[in-house]
Amino acid sequence: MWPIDSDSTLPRKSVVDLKSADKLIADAIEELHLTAEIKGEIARDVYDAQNEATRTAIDSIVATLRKYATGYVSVQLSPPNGALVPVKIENEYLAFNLLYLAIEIAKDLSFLGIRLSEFKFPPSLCMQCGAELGIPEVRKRSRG
Amino acid sequence: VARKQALPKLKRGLSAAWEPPIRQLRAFKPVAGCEEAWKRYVDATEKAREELSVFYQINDRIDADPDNKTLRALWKESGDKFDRLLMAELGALDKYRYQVRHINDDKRADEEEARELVIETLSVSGEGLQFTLGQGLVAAKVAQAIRNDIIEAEIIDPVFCSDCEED
Repeated sequence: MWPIDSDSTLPRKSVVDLKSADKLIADAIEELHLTAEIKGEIARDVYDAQNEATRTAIDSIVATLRKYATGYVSVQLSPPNGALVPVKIENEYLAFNLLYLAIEIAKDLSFLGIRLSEFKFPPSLCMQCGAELGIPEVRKRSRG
Repeated sequence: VARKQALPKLKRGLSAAWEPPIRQLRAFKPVAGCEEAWKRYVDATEKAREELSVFYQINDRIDADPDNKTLRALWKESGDKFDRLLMAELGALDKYRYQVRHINDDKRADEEEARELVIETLSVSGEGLQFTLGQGLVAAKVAQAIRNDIIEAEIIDPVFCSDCEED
């Protein structure tokens, strides 16, 4: 048995310290919105760099995804072991996510030798993570 | 009736003057990659001309025996058959011309291949987005929506940041 010292000053976890589920969900939604905004920004940059025909093709992907999207996103509360709960997100943020997903689809297709219309990833952005590239950082490589 | 009978004769004269013989068509060297379409055209032409010669033969026999109803029925039947074969011949020629015109066009990508890639993207980048259909069906719908916009093309000089370059 471990000696129990009642006067110990070590911090102890109590029920009071645990976040309520509502608070966790609110935090998760906030994080989702933040992520969606960043994704939307990256996706918008890529979308704006395309020509009319490619935009139309991307629009058709977004329209198809939107048709079947429920508007809910599964989020994990306090990862990595928290519960997985469905959370309703606003249309605005859903649109960001769907546009990002459509761009990801176009990008992944192009990686594997299928080009969507005349899709071109802007050379000023990293094709993997979408980060803006400074000129000295630009490096090229080709994938099989 | 006399006019109707005179027409094939006139056609025969024109046909002999204008249409190149089959051997000449067979000797023609089609555009590389379109040989099959050209062969189909020549075959269709040969069939149509065979039927046309049958039609002319019946026509000559009608000239000799104008009251023979059986011959008239055969004449009509052969004429209809020739019409069909002529349409097939012209259709085959159109197909050959279309193929020649589009020989350098981009090759359309396989929809099924695109669907599989979309499934992968949905599962990797979907990040919890829920759909009313399973991922496979959503991917099929997406692939269907873009099937006329996807072509086979290698990616040119992809650019990565230093972090992603190392991965």
